[in-house]
Amino acid sequence: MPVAKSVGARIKRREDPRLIQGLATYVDDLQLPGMCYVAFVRSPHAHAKIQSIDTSAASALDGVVSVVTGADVNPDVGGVPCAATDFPNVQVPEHPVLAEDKVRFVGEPLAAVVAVDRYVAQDAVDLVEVDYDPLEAVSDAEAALEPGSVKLYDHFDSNQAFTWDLEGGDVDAGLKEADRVISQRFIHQRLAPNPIEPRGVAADFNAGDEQLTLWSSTQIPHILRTQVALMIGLNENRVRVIAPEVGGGFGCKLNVYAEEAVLGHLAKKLERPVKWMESRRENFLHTIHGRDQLGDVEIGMKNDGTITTLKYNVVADVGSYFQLLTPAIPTLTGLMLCGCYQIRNVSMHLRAAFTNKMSTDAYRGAGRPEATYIVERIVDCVADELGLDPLEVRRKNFIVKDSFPYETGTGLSYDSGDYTIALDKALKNADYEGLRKKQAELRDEGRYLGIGLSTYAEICGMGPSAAMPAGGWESGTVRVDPTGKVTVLTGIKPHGQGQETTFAQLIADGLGVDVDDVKIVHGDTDSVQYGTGTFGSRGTAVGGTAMIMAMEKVKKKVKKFAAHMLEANIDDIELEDDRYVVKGNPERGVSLADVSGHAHRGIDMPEDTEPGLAESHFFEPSNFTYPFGTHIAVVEVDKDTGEVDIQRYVAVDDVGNIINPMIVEGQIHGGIVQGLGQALYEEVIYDESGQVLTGTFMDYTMPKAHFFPRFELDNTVTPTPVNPMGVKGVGEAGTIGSTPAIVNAVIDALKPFGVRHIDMPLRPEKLWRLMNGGESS
Amino acid sequence: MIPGTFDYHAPKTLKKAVSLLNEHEDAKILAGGHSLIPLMKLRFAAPAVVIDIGRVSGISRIRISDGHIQIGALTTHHTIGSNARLRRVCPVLPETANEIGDLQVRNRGTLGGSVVHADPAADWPAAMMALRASFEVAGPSGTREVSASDFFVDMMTTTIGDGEILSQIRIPEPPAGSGSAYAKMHQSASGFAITGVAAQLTLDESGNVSAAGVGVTGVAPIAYTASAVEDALVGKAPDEGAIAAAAALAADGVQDANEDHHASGEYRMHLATVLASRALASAAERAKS
Amino acid sequence: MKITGTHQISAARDRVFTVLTDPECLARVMPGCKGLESTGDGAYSIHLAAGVGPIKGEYAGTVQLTDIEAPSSYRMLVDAKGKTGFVKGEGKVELVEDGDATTVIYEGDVTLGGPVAAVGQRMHSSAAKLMTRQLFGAIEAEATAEEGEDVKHSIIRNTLRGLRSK
Repeated sequence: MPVAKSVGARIKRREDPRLIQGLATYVDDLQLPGMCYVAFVRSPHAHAKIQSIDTSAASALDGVVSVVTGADVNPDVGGVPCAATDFPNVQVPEHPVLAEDKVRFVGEPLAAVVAVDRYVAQDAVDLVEVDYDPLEAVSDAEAALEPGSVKLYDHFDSNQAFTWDLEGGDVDAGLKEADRVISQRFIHQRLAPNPIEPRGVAADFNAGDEQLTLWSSTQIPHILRTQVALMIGLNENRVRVIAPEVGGGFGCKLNVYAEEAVLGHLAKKLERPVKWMESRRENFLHTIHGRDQLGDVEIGMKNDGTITTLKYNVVADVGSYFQLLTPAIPTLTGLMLCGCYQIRNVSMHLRAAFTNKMSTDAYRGAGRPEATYIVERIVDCVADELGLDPLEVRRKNFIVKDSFPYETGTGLSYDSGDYTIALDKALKNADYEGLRKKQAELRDEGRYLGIGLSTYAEICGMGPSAAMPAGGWESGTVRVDPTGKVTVLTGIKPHGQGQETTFAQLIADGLGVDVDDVKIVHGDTDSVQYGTGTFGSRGTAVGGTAMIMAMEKVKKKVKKFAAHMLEANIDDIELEDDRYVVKGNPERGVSLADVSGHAHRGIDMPEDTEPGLAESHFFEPSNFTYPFGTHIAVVEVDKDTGEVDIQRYVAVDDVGNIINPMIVEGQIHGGIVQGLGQALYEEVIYDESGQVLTGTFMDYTMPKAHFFPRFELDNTVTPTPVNPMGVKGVGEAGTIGSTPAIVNAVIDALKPFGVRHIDMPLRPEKLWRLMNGGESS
Repeated sequence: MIPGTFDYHAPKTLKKAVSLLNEHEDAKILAGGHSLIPLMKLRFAAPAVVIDIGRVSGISRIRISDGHIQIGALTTHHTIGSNARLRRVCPVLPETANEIGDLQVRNRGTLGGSVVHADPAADWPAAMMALRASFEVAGPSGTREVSASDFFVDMMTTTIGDGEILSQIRIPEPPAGSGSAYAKMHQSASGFAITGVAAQLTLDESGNVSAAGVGVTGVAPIAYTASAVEDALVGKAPDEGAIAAAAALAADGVQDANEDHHASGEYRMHLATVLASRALASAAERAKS
Repeated sequence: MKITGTHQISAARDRVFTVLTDPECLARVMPGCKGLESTGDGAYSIHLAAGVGPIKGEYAGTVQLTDIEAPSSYRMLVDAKGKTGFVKGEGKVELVEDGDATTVIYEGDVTLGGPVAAVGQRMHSSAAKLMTRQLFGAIEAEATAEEGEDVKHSIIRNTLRGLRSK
């Protein structure tokens, strides 16, 4: 059998049987004796003073256990934390878990009801009388930065949350050097992450043990534990966080929310278990949103298509408060502005604005989709300006294969890449020449086919701790039980990424056991050593590496035992299938179970060797990883209706080595759909007064499977040198790569109508107007 | 789903349902539950009594006899969408059914529930207008029949009284030489119609239109009959030119067109003309074959 | 949300103005009005059971009429809240004589807040127009009611006539 018998195989996800059969345990499945339900009173106003809160009617309702307001809770519970406040001109707002004097966005919680069931709790919420004094609200980020705008925080100078500048090379010199300069405004509309399982928290305090157990649908159990302990004033070792089955997160559960601390506090105060499940409507209002930048780009170019400079002047709408990583997100846009191109002169001037909206934070891609969208739209704009094929402009500016590791203008060091091979493969798979021919033919018939390219590069495997707001390392422990079964404890928190399968594949091959003999434990801070969590396409690239390093330590010890047991030299022991054998003498061998049994018996130990068989490793990555690829979208736009028909979607992604192709494809499928969601459908709309107009799936378009054709996926493999497995991460690639491909395709289709740019989402009416002599409204 | 408190009844006969409805104040009928339950979940509707007619027998059948298609009010979209005979006799019905929501919605939602709810963007009302449907309404003092054009009064408002239940939908069986079709643009989030046009054409022996029915939904507060389109086609051969000229009148006389962030009123009115033309073209094609 | 339009009522301007500004008449013509009481200076406290079809919400608040230039114009401010959210509106109403009839020109801005804003977006404008139709149907009925005629019957007649005319 080959060494890599499991890695690289399309093994079905081991998580799926329990999910499909309804056997998984989510927060909402938890039932504890005497459990109460919590419901929150939330502001219907975007901006208002709270004059008074009358909880008497709610408290008097049969079945209500407690009603608390900010005045009751805030003295005992610290504010919602932010881990990234080190920015120029920063103004950090206090962020109480329950608003006390003022509410600043629709959906902000200001009181909590505890009742015997969730129906009574909701009835009681309706009985809490709040007297608001509504204030003028500001929901437009640019307007919020105007002098004289209504201010969210009276004691701040303005609504400017912070600023941030980045410059590489000399952008003004780049402008002078240019033959032509064009500018374009890009809007990255606000999106709602919308995991299938909304947030949920349960808490139980054992007064005898002085122990709080907090179940939360989170991506970061360890960070949450630290923060909740600090917020509610318990020693960290008295708080156990369990993230049970988590139904998706997309970054919105990479956070610490008010409800998590309030539930912990209430459980402790009432000494009764409490639970809160977020409704979808609450999720739209009070779970972080993504994107929401608008900015102007100036591009200098040579007549041959060489981009000489890129200047991005941007306003980021961060909403009303800082959540865990709010300020850090738009900076990732700056770092990735050059994409896969040799743009030596690049700058970003960022101003962040407080507005009367929910905070923005990490949503799948987190700052990088914005960068990719800008740079991939720009190369098309340059091609359009110069009358070149967008393909040629890309080739002209690509970072070339021999220059890796490549230092970008923004100060990053790209690990490895070969952008041309992915592009060539995608062109071949799509039959690019044939498509262009077909496009010309159809145009003669009055039909509008568009072909859009996106040759993205993205930053994954987050990341070196020095570059991260809250640590970038990851932990792993590999334990071999006396019977030879393997338990892995990982600091990441998979919530759909399939690491219970891929990690088991790695261990199975690495230690010579069956995949089904490996158990992956995650998401319980009392079981698992401290870790960082799952986000930023880091689970396998960083968490997997920590596990592999721990496994190598175990393996070294196994070999030591095997050598001892087989009376051979340790250097002569090698793993052959599922046996540790003596080189050149394969009939002399032991299994992992043999070794582990011996190691746990504790007698006849090799010299200087401890009994047992478990090792841990904390892995600090030396760099990020940089996956890349080419996506090609083919669309036809109906001139009579403006509807976009996605005819083909061809993607060639390079995410380094692949452990399980099926899981990688699944990640890319989902990613593409979310990217296309932004391009065509999704938008969180706040009106001028700060009211959310898209508070249900009747109004906010969640992309559905039947909107899309079968994606034609392929890949190239350029391993990263950053980790021993050579994996780059794939969680966000599809989302980052796909948005500009489809927008470029639609704009390409509308080229005969003189269209150079259209803002997302590309609603049919907008396109119909552009194709029929009107302005896009 | 965290609604307010309500009493629940599940009668087995229509008569019992009607009497329960008349015994209780603030009672609502629950059919497939795809309009009422979401409203109750949001507490936008909080009826004191819910009368679930899901177990009422005799109102979920499709019968074609005596020159009529009779569809029980409780018939699900899926049942209509998958009915082979309807596909031959009156294709616009299964075509409309299959454009509604998604499979889960079609498996639960009912024709009667949809028309009684009278959502301005619902699909069924267009077909009901085009096919000149009539509605049998059961009340405490017997049943009455209402034509589609009288049934829909305004947005989410029908002539059904507080104590009445829709029991049957009756549609004249299309004569030989008829064809029908539904053309729709979906609102991407909800799947409701931004605009939907149902059309039925009957051709005489010389191939000219002898009767036309065109219903439009999504554009105005209630679905309407595009009589200008119908009048323009009768007596003419349904060729491309005639259809285009007629379809151009599909939004004639519409005031107060619906608008939201998915589509302006102007765009909906434009779509009515485009979709009318498409629905008529395929109805004509079917009528000829 | 902007609400603008004109509506012709076949009644004399003085009569229409009275219907629009007299609290007793207003209470009868406002859709879903369950109570309207003067609190002085052109201000009224109001209790509405407003809704469309099965969607119902009770709202309590104030209506204020200002800048009254009888019988040609006034401004109106509405501020009401209920469990499903709140509504705030401000607008100008002008009455222009048109032979025996009166043309009412209205222009206003309505803000919805809370749950009703977040979940009903696709219905907002249609619902506002529906209520405007109901209001004018009722005004017409009130203004043109013959002595002793059942006003309610007249409302339905006029509403239906309004719709059919399209």
